[in-house]
Amino acid sequence: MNILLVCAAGMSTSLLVTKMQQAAKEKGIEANIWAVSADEAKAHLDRADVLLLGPQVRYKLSQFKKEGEARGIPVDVINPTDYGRVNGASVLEFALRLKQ
Amino acid sequence: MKRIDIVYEKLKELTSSNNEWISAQQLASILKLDRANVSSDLNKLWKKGKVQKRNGRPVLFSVVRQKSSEMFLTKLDELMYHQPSLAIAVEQGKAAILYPPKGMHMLILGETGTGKSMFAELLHEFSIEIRKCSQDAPFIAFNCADYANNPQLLLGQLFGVKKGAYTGAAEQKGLIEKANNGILFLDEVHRLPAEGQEMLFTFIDKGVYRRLGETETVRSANVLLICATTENPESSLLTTFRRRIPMNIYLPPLRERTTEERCHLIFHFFREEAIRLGKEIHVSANTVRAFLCYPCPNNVGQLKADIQLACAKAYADYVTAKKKKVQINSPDLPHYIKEGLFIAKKQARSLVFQYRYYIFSPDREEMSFEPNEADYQNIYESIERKFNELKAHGVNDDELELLMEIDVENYFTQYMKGVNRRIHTGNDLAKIIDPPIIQLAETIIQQAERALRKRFAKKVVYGLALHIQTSIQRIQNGKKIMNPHLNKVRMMYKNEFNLALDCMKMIEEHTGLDLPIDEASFLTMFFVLDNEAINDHEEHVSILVMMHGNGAATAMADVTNHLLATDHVKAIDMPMHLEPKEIYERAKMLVKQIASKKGLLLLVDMGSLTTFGELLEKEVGIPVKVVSAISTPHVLEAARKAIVGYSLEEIYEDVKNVTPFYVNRPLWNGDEQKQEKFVIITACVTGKGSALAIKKVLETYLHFDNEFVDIIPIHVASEKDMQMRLSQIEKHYRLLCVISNVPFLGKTPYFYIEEVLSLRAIKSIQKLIDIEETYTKMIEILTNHLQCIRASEGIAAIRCCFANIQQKLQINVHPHDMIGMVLHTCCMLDRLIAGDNSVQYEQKEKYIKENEWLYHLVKKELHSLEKKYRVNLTKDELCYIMKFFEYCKTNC
Repeated sequence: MNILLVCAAGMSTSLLVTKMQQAAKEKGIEANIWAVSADEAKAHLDRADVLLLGPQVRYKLSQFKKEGEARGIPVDVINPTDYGRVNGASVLEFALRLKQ
Repeated sequence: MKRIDIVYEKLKELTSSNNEWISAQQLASILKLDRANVSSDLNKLWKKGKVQKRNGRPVLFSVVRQKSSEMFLTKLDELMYHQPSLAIAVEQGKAAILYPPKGMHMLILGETGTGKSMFAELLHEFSIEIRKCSQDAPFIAFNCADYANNPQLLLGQLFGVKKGAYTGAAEQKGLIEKANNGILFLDEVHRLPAEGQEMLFTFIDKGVYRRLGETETVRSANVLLICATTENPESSLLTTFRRRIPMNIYLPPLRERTTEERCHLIFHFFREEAIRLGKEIHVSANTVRAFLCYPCPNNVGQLKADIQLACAKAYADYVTAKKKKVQINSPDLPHYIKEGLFIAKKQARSLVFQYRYYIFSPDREEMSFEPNEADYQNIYESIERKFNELKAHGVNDDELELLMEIDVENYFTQYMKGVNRRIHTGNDLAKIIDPPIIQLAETIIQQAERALRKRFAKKVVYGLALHIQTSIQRIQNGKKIMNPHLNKVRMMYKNEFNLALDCMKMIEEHTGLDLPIDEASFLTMFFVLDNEAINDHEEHVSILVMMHGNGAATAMADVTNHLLATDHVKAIDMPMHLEPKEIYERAKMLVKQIASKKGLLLLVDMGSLTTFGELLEKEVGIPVKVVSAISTPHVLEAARKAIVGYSLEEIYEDVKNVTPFYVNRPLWNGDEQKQEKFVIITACVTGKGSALAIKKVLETYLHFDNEFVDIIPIHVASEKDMQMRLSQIEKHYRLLCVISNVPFLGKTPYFYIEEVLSLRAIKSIQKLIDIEETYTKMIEILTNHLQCIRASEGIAAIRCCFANIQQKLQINVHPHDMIGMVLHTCCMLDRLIAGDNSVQYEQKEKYIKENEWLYHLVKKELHSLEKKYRVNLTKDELCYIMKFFEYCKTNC
């Protein structure tokens, strides 16, 4: 399970990545989670199973959705409340649900 | 007549006059009836509540003395009658006592001196009066603060002690045991130590307890608990209490009660003192005024103590023969009470005291007045006296005249405003005023119109009718009517005054009352006043609200019209199925009707509606301005300014600048805040009742953590008063939003009561709560993560900057999007401070060049962050932020 997170500069999501990795470990899910900036995302897209956007780059959603559809990758925006609370478990669950 | 009636009549004859008691045997022998029958009748009557009985041997009976109204008034009812602000509390208290089977425990909340102990005692009396408890039911009061630092002693007091429980312990009954079948009043219950709480909770839950040192026996007692506290009911300790004691009774502090209530308290306390001293007490009008208005932080208790002190001092002067009678004049009062006089002057509503001295007598219930011989008809004397009094205060003649004039004018403008606000339709009017009086007012106005050859606005009829009704009531109640301006009025408006005299005769004929000549000068004011009221017909900027959806526009217009007591705001709803063209035609029709030369302000939400302005301007031929993305405050602001005659340009500019509804500002200044807890204020001008009701609605429909958000209902007198109260509350809380029925233009988001009651605002309020909760959680998380800055401080500063950017850009970023951006920026700051400048933005120079103004704006607004953290924000970082706002702006 490869989860790609995208935010403005790829830095604020890194905190979320840590939390999600923790959550995955606790749940016994093997997941590869990493974060990049919006500009870099395209290059990473092929390695991802799910693409999640930070709420502050919501405006990129339609662009990434197109890219995602072409590759069969689900794309969505992270719930702002979970994002703001850096709720790793909740975002992980969200990613898993998207993949299903 | 049935036997039982005969028994009752005889008992009434024998016992009603002078509080006598009689046994069944005595009554039976007087009536020559069998004792057993009489006794059974008496007991039946007792059950009906018509007879009271006194236990003993023999049992004595007496008729229940009824008030003139044939109603059985308990002391609580009396309290409610004199102190309407306590009505809710009284009803709650009664309900709790009557709650089957044994009553409900209560928690009384209120500041010091609001009368919690007295209220508890009255509840006890009430429970006896209505026979919920027996005559001798105990009332035990205990102040938990007494032994607060010795829990063992306190527990012993409360629950009793077993012999030998500790060295030298004697067997001791606890207060709970003593209060069996009665009431235990625990004052300052928040001082109860933790050990005591647990035992008390067991008792509350199961009705059983143990004496200190007892292990085997479990005792039970039937006790109704009344707890009282001055603490904030939301404080952590009390929440556990509140869970177990659902009945919370709030006693409002003195400042939330009406002037009439305070006046009644003052008179009551003076009379009490008169009885205590056994002497007449003469109190000057100014003294009463001072007591009415001085700030009295410790409430009724302090008021009583201050009055006692004043009386004691006056008594001392009397005993030492400094004065001939027990007399209190305002100069004798302590400084802080005298302050009340200045406050009284500042108050718009006039506090009318037409007597020089109020005399409280130990023998008579009613007070008398001095000088009694001074006939109020003799207005000259009264004015002269007022003059002299004011002169003694060092006021010169010109000022004096002005002061008195202001009083009268004030009365009138306030009065007409009140009429306007209260009455919108004839229907409403008929509810308040007797129809014959309305007819009378109409006839008078008709006559006046003929005689003065001018038209009067409809509201003058309403005003006049209301005025006549109150005058009649005043006279019937023996209150006086006087107008110190009689002469001036008579001179200035000869015609109107003569007309008023005629009208007065009509009123006298109609009511059979004699009216003082002063009344004519009041009537004159009605006829004169309308000259200015005619200005009402001056043209104003028209206001039209148009919004998508069913009823949104109408609702906004209604709220505004209702609040401002006008019908100036018009609305057109635009249901989604209608074509814009159709809507436009409707709008055009309406605009043609309401158009004024001063122009039209069109308030719309979005889309095609924004283009209507130009079209209307061309086709109707009046200036039109359009403001889009509006909410109720915009409409309110526009209407308020339009009514008072602002120009279209002015209104347009002002409305544009109204802070939007869902303000994304941080709820505090950029500085860090110590207050952790949020608060929602429900404020009400009509009394705390509706504020409380709103609180209940909010509690029912909102999801929130009690630890995080408080809801505080307050009663406010005016917008200004509200500002003051809010700034006080802000010392302890962070304001989340305000719900009120007064227009309130502050930085805090606010909602109208109507919006909450209709549940329209619930979603928005929930959003506010969720967002703030998210930020709080964000702070917690970031605190561990950030290395260089403090999360709480950083987030506050960033939110503040972003709010400013939004304001400058005139956009409203969705708060959800903002959360992400704030988190991003906070991490970014921390990173930069740590020296990591690695983030790149592709083609940043090009992007900056294309959006130069935005670059400068963002850079300028974020400069405060740079300064605060002594760090340089790189162009790359700024570009990311710019990009965010640029997107928001194009998509708003």
